[in-house]
Amino acid sequence: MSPSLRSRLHRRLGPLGVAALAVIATLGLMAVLAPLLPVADPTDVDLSDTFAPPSAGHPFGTDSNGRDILARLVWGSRTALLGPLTVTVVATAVGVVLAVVASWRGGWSDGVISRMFDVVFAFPGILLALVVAAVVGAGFVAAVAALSVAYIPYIGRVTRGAALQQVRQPYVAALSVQGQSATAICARHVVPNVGILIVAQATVTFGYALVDLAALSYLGLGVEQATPDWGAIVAAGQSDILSGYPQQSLYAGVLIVVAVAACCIVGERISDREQYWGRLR
Amino acid sequence: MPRFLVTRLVGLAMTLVVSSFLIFWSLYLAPGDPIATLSGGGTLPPEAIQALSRQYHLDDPFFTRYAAWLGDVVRGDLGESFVFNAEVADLIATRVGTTVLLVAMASVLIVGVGVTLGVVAGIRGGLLDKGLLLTTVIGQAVPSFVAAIVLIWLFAVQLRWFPAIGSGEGFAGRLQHLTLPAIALALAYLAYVARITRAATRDEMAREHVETARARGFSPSQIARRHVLRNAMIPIATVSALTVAGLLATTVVVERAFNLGGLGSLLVEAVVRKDFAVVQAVSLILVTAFVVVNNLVDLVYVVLDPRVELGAAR
Amino acid sequence: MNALLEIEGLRVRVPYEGRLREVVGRVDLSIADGESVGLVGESGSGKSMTARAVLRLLPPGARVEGSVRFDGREVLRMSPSELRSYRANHAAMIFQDPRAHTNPLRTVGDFLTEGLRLNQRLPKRAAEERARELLRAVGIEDPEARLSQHPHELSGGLLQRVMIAAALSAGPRLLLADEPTTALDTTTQAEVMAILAELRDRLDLAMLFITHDLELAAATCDRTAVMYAGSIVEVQRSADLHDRALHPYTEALVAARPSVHTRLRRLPVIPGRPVAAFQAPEGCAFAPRCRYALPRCTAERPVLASLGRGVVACLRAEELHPDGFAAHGGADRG
Repeated sequence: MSPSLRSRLHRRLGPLGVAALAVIATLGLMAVLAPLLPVADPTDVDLSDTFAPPSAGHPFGTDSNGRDILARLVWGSRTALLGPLTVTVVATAVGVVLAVVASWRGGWSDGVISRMFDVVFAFPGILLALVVAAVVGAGFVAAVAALSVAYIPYIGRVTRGAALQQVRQPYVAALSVQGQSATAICARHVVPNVGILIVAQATVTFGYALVDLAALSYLGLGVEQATPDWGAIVAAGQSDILSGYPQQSLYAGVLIVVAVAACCIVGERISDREQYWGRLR
Repeated sequence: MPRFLVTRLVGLAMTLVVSSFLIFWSLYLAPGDPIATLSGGGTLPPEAIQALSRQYHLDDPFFTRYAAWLGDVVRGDLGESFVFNAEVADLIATRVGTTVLLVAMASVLIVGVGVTLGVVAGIRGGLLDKGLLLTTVIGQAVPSFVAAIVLIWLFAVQLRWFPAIGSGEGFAGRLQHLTLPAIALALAYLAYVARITRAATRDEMAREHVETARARGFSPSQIARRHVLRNAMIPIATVSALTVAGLLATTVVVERAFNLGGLGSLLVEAVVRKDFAVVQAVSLILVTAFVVVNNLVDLVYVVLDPRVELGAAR
Repeated sequence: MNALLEIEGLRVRVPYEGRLREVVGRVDLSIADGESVGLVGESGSGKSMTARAVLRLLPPGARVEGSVRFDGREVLRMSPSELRSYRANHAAMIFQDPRAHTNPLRTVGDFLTEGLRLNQRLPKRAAEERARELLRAVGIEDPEARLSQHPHELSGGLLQRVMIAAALSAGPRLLLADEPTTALDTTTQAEVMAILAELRDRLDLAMLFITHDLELAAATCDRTAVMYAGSIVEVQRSADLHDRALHPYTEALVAARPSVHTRLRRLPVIPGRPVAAFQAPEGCAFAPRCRYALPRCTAERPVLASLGRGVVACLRAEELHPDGFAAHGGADRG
């Protein structure tokens, strides 16, 4: 990373924000590099070694089926993070495009798109995923698709508001008169100017999507049965809590909380809401 | 009626109509024919098929079906559940109480505890404030099901203060059984509301009109009451109302986590067992409630802020 | 004549971007009973902060040193309840932007009667009656209607009069006015100034009038003080200031104001820009922009010293005004 970029990041995010970003990056790396990491096979069932305490072979112990907990947590990060990433990318892409079109064209287009946002907004993420699951059957892809749609208005509305302000600026009219096309102006000027807002929203959306997807997996309507996933691991370990073995569920839960908290911190830092952190006006 | 209200209501109605249409239409989006979807894939005797055909007006054109369905819904006829072998309306009636009570308890927690903490932290500042910031950053990141298992582990298994599952009998019994679920449901929202409240309070305290009050020699509590809180209430009330709306979606997860017999767990079960009538009915109820609460929020502005004139569009 | 207000060695530092910065370096000023003193300066000069220090209305984390004595009592060391009593009954302040300084959610009547009900414990009826009187005193003819209106329904000028009325409701002896007419258009400005003058006369009110408009201050106040970079650089009787400015900064300010009567080819501008106390260089803060500056001006910091009937902080003051003493007798301490 170039030194100027690094110092800009430091200034914008503050020490806490940088730490949070590092946490997310670490988790992301863990997810991507999972196959290469020196952990056991998460699907290895060993019924003779259930609920084993932490040891060299099983740093976090084993679950009710003798599977290595650490391995399940590491591999669980893949679906736990990839899913929300997809949701965020799709929702942001579609949301931003729709928002920019709505703010640029105004009138009828804006009315229709705003209405669409309203209607989709009426379906909270989990609810939409449930209805979709009822229609096409439960599954990870279905859940991700449903959430991608559900989160479009969260990004779309905020972007539209900011884009509307941008579009009314004199520079837009000036560029227009110079002969630049609408797409060019939007792509090169409007979107970058609201860019920070979009990034902040997207970061927070990532956090929400993470929670929703984990919740769906917890309910059994997300990832397929045996796939390790933080939400699914929490569910799998729940009955064990009553027998005195809360490890599996608690560790997975902690990972989720850490990931989401880090997202929220970074998201807020990016959008510069430092007044919430006690600085003098 | 003020123009502002009319516009809002029309928007609200349109959203509801389109949402209900989507919910209605979803039946036909499923692979296979509607009958198969409705019966959950099992084979039915011819009379049952006939009955279903009539109930859902499957021989009629599409929009007639929608109109008929909507008419039925409004009249309280939500169809029959094949999976549970009962009238959907009955299924809902027996479970809605639990959900309503749960959401109500969670709301009380969110507004009572969250707003209070935020106000105190915002006005007092200092250590309490820093502590609040720290705990709420973590708190708002705790999903309801994670809170659920932690609470179960802590209170039900370790301390044995609360029962771990079930809805309980009688009002007091239900309250006791719903305490942990309500906390799990409210936690993340509580943290969020506390932060927003603190920020809003801090914002108000920095405002010029508060300086005027100080210059006139009013005591801190007089200033807090008459100027800070009164003005901060608008954003606080707005956010609180929006979080209550969010509770409706999250209750689905919490009800499953604690094995409560509410609308949420009914919905999940219906999805798993492919009981379409129930899915449609419960979705419709939850979505409607969600939309209505969200729109009521706008009314908060009109009531609390004299600068917003009823005739003006927002 | 005993001074009603005596400021001595006032120094104010406020937190800014994580550190304490000086915004008022040194202020020595006194105001007598019934006297009006104008405090003139550009942005960053520290004039507003000085006024606020008189009421101890400083931002959280600010540090104050020196002495502010009102009627002999040290304001900076008052207990919280003494301070509240002082603010409620003896000194009052009006601000630049009346719209920002009134609570938009409460009625004008509430604003006016608040002090009377909370501090003087007047019952509501009596408070409202007094409020109507006060509104009439500031020239508002239809007080009854105004009481139930909200601030956003009133114009800036009207709202400023309401603020004046509220400030005077407890009968203070000192009025601090922080640029009360800056946000108003010229005609309204004149109206508000006229009301202030009339009330001052009638109530024998002392006033500290903060403004960036030297002419306005000199025209309406008995004495005028000029501030630059957090310190007072000159204090004179307004009539004397009209004749001759003692400090190069004041002189430049006067020259920069175009007059309707003279034709100019170019406006005489003061080069550079005004600085705050913590941005000031060594020696005289104005030296970088001063046409009379000599090398020793950047080495030595000038202090307020008498010259004729006024005081001025300039190393070359005597040099530049050789006939400043004349036969006017002793100096009037600023």
